[in-house]
Amino acid sequence: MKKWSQLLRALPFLAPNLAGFLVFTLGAVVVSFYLSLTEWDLLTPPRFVGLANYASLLGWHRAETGWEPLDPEFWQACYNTLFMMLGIPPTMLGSFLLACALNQKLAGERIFRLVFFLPSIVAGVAVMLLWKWMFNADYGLINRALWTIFGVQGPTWLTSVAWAKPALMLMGFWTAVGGFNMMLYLAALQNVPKELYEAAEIDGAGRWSVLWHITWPMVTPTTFFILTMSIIGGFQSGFDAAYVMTGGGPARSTTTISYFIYNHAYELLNMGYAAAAAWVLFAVVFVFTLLNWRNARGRMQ
Amino acid sequence: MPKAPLPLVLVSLLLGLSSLLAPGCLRQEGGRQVVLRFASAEPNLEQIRVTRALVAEFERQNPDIRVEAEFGIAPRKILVQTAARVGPDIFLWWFDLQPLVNKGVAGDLAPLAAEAGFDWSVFHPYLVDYYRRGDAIHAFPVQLKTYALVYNRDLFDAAGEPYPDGTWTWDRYREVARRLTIKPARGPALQFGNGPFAQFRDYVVRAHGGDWFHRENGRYAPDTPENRRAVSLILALLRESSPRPEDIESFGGGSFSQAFLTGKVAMQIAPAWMMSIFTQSRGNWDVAPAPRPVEGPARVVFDDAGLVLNARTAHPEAAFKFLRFYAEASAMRDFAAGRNGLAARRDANEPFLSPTVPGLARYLDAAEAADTPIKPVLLDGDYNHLSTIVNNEFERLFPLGEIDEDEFFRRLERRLNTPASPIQRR
Repeated sequence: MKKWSQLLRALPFLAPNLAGFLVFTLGAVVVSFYLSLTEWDLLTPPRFVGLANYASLLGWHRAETGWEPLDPEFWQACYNTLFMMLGIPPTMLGSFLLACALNQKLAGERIFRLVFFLPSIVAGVAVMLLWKWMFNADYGLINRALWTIFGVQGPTWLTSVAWAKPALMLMGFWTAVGGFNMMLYLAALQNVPKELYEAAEIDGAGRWSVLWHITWPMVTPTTFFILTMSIIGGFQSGFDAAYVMTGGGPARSTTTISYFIYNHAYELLNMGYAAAAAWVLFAVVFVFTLLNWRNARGRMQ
Repeated sequence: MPKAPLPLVLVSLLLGLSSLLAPGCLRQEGGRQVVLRFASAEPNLEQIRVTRALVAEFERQNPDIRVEAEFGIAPRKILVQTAARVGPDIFLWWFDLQPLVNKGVAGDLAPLAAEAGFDWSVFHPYLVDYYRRGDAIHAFPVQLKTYALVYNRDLFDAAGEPYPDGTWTWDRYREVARRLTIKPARGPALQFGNGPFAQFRDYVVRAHGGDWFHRENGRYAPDTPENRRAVSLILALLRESSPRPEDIESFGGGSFSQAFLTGKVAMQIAPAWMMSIFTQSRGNWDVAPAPRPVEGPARVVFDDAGLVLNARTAHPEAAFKFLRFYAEASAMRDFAAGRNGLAARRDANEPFLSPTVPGLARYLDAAEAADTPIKPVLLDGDYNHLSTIVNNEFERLFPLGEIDEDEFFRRLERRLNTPASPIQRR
């Protein structure tokens, strides 16, 4: 009875947020699932097509030259997304090492922290346009530096199928390495009990041993959190940078799943198909997160 | 928690209520005036200025109608607004019209025109036919884009090459383009014979009498001799004498017209709308007729932009009044003076020719002979979806080089006939 009265009293306070969640989040999610079962071009009423969108996205058929996906662009977008996610481990490692460095008692440590954090608070489009010029094949800063310092003719970065993805990953590394991941690691490092380090010092452990046997295990929960969030973000990312810097090209080599969804929804007005792709993306993220969770739970214990 | 004084609460409520009611009061106040919303994707500043002046003049002549004009609106925004029933009453459209017809967005202008006694013959007839579906006419011709060959006289003089003229075939064009290309062993190229533009591939195919969406027995059959000839030529030009995307980015800021104006591009097939940019420059350039195919009949390609009357407008008569005003000779002459393409009205293009760059008249010659729209009308296919398939497959051919021309046509045929999603299959 008391619980009910508490709930009744809490309800008016919760209602605005709850209403917003039901209408703008849960409602949109449910509607998007329904739309994924339809063919809808915005202008005419949706037509129910069952699982046809999913079949087209995920289906394969036998062609003269062998088995081929029904929609090769979707699979290419999946490949591009996974490829770009290869940037997650180096970024995490970079953030961890940077946090270790900034955790030392240095003169001006606050300034260093600010400087490394700056890229993640600068407006994204501004950063992307800056990098776009830096990547310019003929006049960009990077190729000029490669030529002047090493005598190497740099690649055509953003207009090369082979280099466009690494270029975006490089920019992503620069933006993310000193960002929130570094701050999380920094917070985690400051929570590692000093006694452990003192004990290690008495035992004669070297720096590498301390790092590997004390620091790294003690920040595992943070690593797990960052990894989970990075994987979720990685699957959903890639749109803004590709939109501004490459338009998803060259030859769709930077079209990620989120860009694919955007193209179908707003360029081709293929809403049902875009919704189906979004649900496939959700399923993939869900499975990965679940696996990651199970794997990490054991390790953390 | 301290209690708010009652007068303060009442004043707040009153303010809240009045803010809700105010827009309604304003609407009522202006109730005598019809408000038309006009949207255009046009980003060209000169053209925006010209259109704003037209709108102001229309409002002066029709004080009962106010036109709210928006420019630089993405076409998908127009469609999304229309879907949400807050779309513009009239909009300028240079994309594929057929989906708007199929989805009941592009209203039929024929009955309104008949009622007003409007004479369609003031326009180039093929433009009106392009918008005609049976007895209905779904857009109002405004802008005509023909194509001609723009060339840099300085680069021709330096190489001792004679200027292009009306006798040129595409083979000759390719040869000269190759000779005018200067690529050092390393580092950026210094000069390019051929400057592409966004629709270059489609233009060459259509100019050869080709059609990516050619059909036989109800199936897409793109592997035609015309398409083959066009694809071979496109590949040769792209490989031998054209700037790469990074070159265009480097010296043209990503703009094909700016790339030509830097003086590094010797020749470029340029649509008429580029003259709004070229005529502002001091470059030593001129215009020649576009080359002809070596084999088969020469096609004269055109592109369009028309004003669409939103079928969901609440003010069709007022909107048609605006369209009709747009078609008057004086308004169309103002349009032609902006050189953002030719005016759709045949008798309004003298301002396009001045100040005099002698070759500008080639665009008018092309307008008289035009017979092939760059975007073919696909009554039962979606041009945008199918074009995406063509683009994706062509990229495998160039620049990826994953497939050869035979495989390109095989794959293209297969994918056009078995597109992925249900909406593409429709």
